[in-house]
Amino acid sequence: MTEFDQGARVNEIRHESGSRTEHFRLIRGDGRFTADLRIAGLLHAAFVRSPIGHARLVGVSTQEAHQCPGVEAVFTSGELPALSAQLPSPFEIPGFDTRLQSVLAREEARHAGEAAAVVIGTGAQEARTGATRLELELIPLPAVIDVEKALLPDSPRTYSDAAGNLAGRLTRGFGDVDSAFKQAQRVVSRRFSAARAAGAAMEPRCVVVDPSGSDGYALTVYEGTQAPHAVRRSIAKVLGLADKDVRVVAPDVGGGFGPKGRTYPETVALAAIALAIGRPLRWEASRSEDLLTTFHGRGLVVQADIASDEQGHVLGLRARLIQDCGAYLPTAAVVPLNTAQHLLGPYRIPACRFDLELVYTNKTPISPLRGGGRELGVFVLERMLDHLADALDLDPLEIRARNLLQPEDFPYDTGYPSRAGGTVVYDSGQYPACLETAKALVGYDDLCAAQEVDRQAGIYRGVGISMFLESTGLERERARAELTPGGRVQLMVGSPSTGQGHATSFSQVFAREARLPISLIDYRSGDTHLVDTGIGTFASRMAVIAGNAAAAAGKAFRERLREAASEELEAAAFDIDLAGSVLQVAGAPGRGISLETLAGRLESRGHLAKVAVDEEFAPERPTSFAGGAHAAVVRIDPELRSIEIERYVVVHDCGTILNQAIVDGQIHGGVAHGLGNALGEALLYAEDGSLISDSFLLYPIPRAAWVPKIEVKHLASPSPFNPLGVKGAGEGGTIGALATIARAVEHALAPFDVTCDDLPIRLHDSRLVPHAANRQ
Amino acid sequence: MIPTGCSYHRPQSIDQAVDALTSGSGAVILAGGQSLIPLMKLGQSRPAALVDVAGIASLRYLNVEGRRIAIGALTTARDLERSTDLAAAVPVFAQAAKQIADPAVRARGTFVGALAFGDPGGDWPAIGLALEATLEVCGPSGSRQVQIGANLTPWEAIKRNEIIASATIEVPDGRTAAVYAKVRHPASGYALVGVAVLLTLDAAGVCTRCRIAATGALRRPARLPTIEASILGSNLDGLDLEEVAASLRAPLAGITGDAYAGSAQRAQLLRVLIHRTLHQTVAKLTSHP
Amino acid sequence: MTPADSAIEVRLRVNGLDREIDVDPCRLLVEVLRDDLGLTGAHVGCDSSQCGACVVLLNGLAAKACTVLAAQCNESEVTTIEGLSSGSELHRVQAAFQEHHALQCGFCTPGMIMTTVDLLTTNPSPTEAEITEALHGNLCRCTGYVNIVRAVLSLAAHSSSEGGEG
Ligand SMILES: Cc1cc2nc3c(=O)[nH]c(=O)nc-3n(C[C@H](O)[C@H](O)[C@H](O)COP(=O)(O)OP(=O)(O)OC[C@H]3O[C@@H](n4cnc5c(N)ncnc54)[C@H](O)[C@@H]3O)c2cc1C
Ligand code: FES
Ligand code: FES
Repeated sequence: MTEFDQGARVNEIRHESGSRTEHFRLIRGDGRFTADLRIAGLLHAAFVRSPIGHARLVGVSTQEAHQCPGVEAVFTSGELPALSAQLPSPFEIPGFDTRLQSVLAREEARHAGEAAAVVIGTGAQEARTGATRLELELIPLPAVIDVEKALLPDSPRTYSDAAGNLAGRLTRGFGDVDSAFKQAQRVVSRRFSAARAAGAAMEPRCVVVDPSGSDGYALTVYEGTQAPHAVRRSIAKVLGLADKDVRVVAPDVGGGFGPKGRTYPETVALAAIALAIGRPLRWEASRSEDLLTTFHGRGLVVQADIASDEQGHVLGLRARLIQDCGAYLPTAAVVPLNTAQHLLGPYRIPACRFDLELVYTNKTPISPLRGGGRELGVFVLERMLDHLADALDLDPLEIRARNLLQPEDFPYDTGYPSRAGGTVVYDSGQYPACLETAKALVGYDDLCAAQEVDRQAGIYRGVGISMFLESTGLERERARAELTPGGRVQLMVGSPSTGQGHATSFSQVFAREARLPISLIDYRSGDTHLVDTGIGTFASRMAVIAGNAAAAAGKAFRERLREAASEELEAAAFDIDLAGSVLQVAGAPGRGISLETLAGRLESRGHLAKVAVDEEFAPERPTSFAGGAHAAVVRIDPELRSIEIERYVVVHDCGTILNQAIVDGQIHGGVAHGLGNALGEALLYAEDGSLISDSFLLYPIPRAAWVPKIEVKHLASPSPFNPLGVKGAGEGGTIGALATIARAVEHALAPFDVTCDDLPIRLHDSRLVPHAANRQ
Repeated sequence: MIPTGCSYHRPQSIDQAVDALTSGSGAVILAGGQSLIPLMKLGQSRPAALVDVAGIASLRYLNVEGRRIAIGALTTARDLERSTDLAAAVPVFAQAAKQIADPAVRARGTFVGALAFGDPGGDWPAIGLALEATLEVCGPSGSRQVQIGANLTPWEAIKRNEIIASATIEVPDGRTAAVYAKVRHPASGYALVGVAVLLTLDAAGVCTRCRIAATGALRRPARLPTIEASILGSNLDGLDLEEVAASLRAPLAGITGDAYAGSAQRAQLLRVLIHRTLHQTVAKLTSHP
Repeated sequence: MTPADSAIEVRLRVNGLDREIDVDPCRLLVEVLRDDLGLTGAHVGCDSSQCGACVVLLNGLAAKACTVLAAQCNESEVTTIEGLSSGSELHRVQAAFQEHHALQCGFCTPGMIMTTVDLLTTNPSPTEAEITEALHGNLCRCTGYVNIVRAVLSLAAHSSSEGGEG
């Protein structure tokens, strides 16, 4: 039934395997997503948006909308101070021309989808109908679309008061790059590009705001967000409230992938309007709105040079990265920084210099998207190694083997400046073994050997193998646990699950440390009311950070339980053991107390709060590095120019595995996302800045028939940088897939000299031997 | 979500349906709704009134008599996909049905509705054209029979206040076979390019009838008479691939393209698909003479 | 929802219960299920009828509830994910999804399950290719479909009923 052998499970934390209790509600249709919430007296909002990329907003005619049946109110930016406020920036980038989005557009709309008015209706249909009757008077302005052309002196400008479209430049690197290139016996230079892509979580964005104060907060906001605490901060700031006045709850979240970790204008607009009119409000994005306005990902052009000696030892790496930021910062800024750092991969690279240019365009802002920029760093680096191998007539796996870090190199100081200060240090890994394992599993040598014969028979099959590395586990997170009056345990974490199975993994970790049965634990998360801090569920950080916090909480909880029991049982705390749900004095059978009885007694004396813990995990070294190798076998129909993925193998090292089924699931989904990016997903814009790919009729999400059965093999190098030894696993699937597919396609089409440096890969633009009917 | 402001009628007979279409301006027929409702949701169609014909029981039938197939207006893709009689008589129906959308859409979308609509990337129109369906069209002045041909498509054949009650297809006797193939648009699943081929060969293998209809690559689905003519009269039993391929090299007129697949790309795909479907059709005739 | 003058009366049977509602002719079945009947298990993931998050059984066959007007469902029988099983019992498709970890965020799941129920009714022993084809109209962004296909395959009549993650 499975591709895993026993060895694969070595490092899975063995406790009662989490039964994925969160599934039960969801498979019965009892999930509670934001759009499922029902609040009495709810009104509905619909936004009116600019259809084009750049326009002066001269006026808004609201009269007709007001007259529509069921329309209660119409708001434009002037109506409430908060509606013309700017969304606060969570961080500053020194030296940058940072432009922030305002809640509703005032004088100019700078990307298609930017909202200028809100219609409030008794029902969603009424609000939407009203919105279709509202007219924005727009004067089109020239739109900045192409990120490279945006840098030319004669380009139109996203901001008329700016000298150009450059938001800012950054340089990163170390070592003496110039002399590395001088000494080099080989230099290969290439240009790469990655189209804009959508997160396209299956649940479109949705917000419900309740100003009734029934739960003691001035405002309660429900949103399927990855980062409720950050959303709370932005709302409070714009509305002039204190954080403690605002509660943000992420109910069930239908996928996140990065873009749902941002604060959006719609959320703040709803909060402002709900407070002003004293009625609860809801807005649910249609898919078209979601594709148009939920921040996009990717959108990068890279010019890279690699220097090596005659044996293919890399001497230095140089790259110019041009990031399309869309119309507003700041979230785009972290993306090319991640890209740059991941241009080093799991290799020994003595010197590098990366010049980053962040460019405004009249498009939707950019956000980290599954991979967060890491996927493109890995893509460019792995592609450069392939091209270098071709230039040196070496096998691409051989050139990797010659440059890979060895297990004994860890911890490895890359020399690269870390955002947290100091340099980036890799914690652990066994990259050569990953490469060898991938090679063996996919049958690399046999596939290469069979290629000639296959081609004679008209079969074009290729194999690609590439390595990846992923920084995971940033920042801090808290886990709280409380004994309930009924003798159960409530475990709470700040940031929400958006499908990663936190309830299972973290309950399991907690239960193991607390020595409690997992069935006693009720998990809750994503509610600022329960845990006052949280960073967010992204950057593959939760298993590392919240996982360790949950473990610490479990350990502490056990002590609190023993202390409480020691008073009841009149025994020393260290003599008390937990067995199932009974606390037992060691060596004295019969002297025990069940959790339920203990809880009851504590409750009656008002002491229940004694058995409560609140643990934060904020590691000194902020990151652990997951990594591994991907291998793909593709078969290409050169006549139809279609690509079929016959096999896909991932050799994955994320250190200690908390729950293997969940990790495997993350890898599967990540790979599918990467296949989408490699083979089709692209958000295309027209000249006037309108979005062409504005529905699932035009934006291709991978479907069941073209995602192969992804095979996963685990090798585990536990991280020495955190107590559990875990590394994140949420994005490695995507990060590794891009270069792997590109190489496999190139390999299959070697006779035609096809190059796959642009994502998505489009064979139609390349020269293949034409079908007889197409020969000129 | 569909904006408000549309009325709805449920006629129980064809006459009532025609009345409803005639009396209100902007009234349109609603059959399976799998083309019309998506358009209304995206705001691309805003009919004033819907005439839901699903209640007209007399339109719900599929009759297979030898090689004569009568398809009532309410017959769905799924009905065509699952009929064993039909699969035995004219297998191309099931073969094409399986390439359309997904089971949920096929359970509601009708064959006749697809002909009436003529989606530029629709699959059924190519089948209707290649198999030269005869439509029974009912309007205010009674009913008439319309044969679809090289120069007449179903959507051109009917007026706004008419309803197609059925489509009848008669597959010619003799060595005749039909094949449908498509390349799906990676996002929508509609035909990026689709080709339906029907061939009749005489005992010597000479092609006596050739119908080729294309979809996806053209502004609307259409027959390709020039290519048909170049195949007609050839001996296809000893099918010479190179020769057929050569006859396809001529420039194709009216090929459309968009940001996802340009016209040059669609033209190339179209030629490959024609070649392959011709080949498959001949192979069928050769294995089951 | 205040039915306008043009509201029409619809009688349908939902999860075994007879319902009579007045609806605006433009309201979609999925909207009526979710908003009027409180059955929020069918989700809305798109506006172009592509994603399948809304699939229910309409007279026994899978249908995209976002592509059917409530008005069209007069005298029809609708089964939603909520009506698939009762009490703590799971329908076998639900059980297989649980067992094979065939969901992550769970947003696509009700639609996936309903499509699968239809598939297994019409074809009790589908092959892997038949499964992925049947799921063509159901998009999932989380799972890469790997475990979904595995779950469905485990239910195919020709498959032995062993399960587990191995
Ligand atoms: C997600 C999705 C994917 C799809 N993918 C494909 C695909 O891959 N290939 C494909 O070919 N199709 C596809 N379709 C379209 C589907 O096949 C439609 O069902 C079909 O084209 C139209 O049939 P209908 O009964 O639904 O027509 P309706 O939507 O009810 O009507 C369509 C039009 O035809 C008119 N009409 C309908 N019946 C009659 C009649 N009897 N007389 C006169 N006029 C009539 C209507 O007034 C309307 O203008 C897809 C649809 C969806 C929702
Ligand atoms: S909501 Fe996407 S298909 Fe129905
Ligand atoms: S489980 Fe999230 S979309 Fe399928």
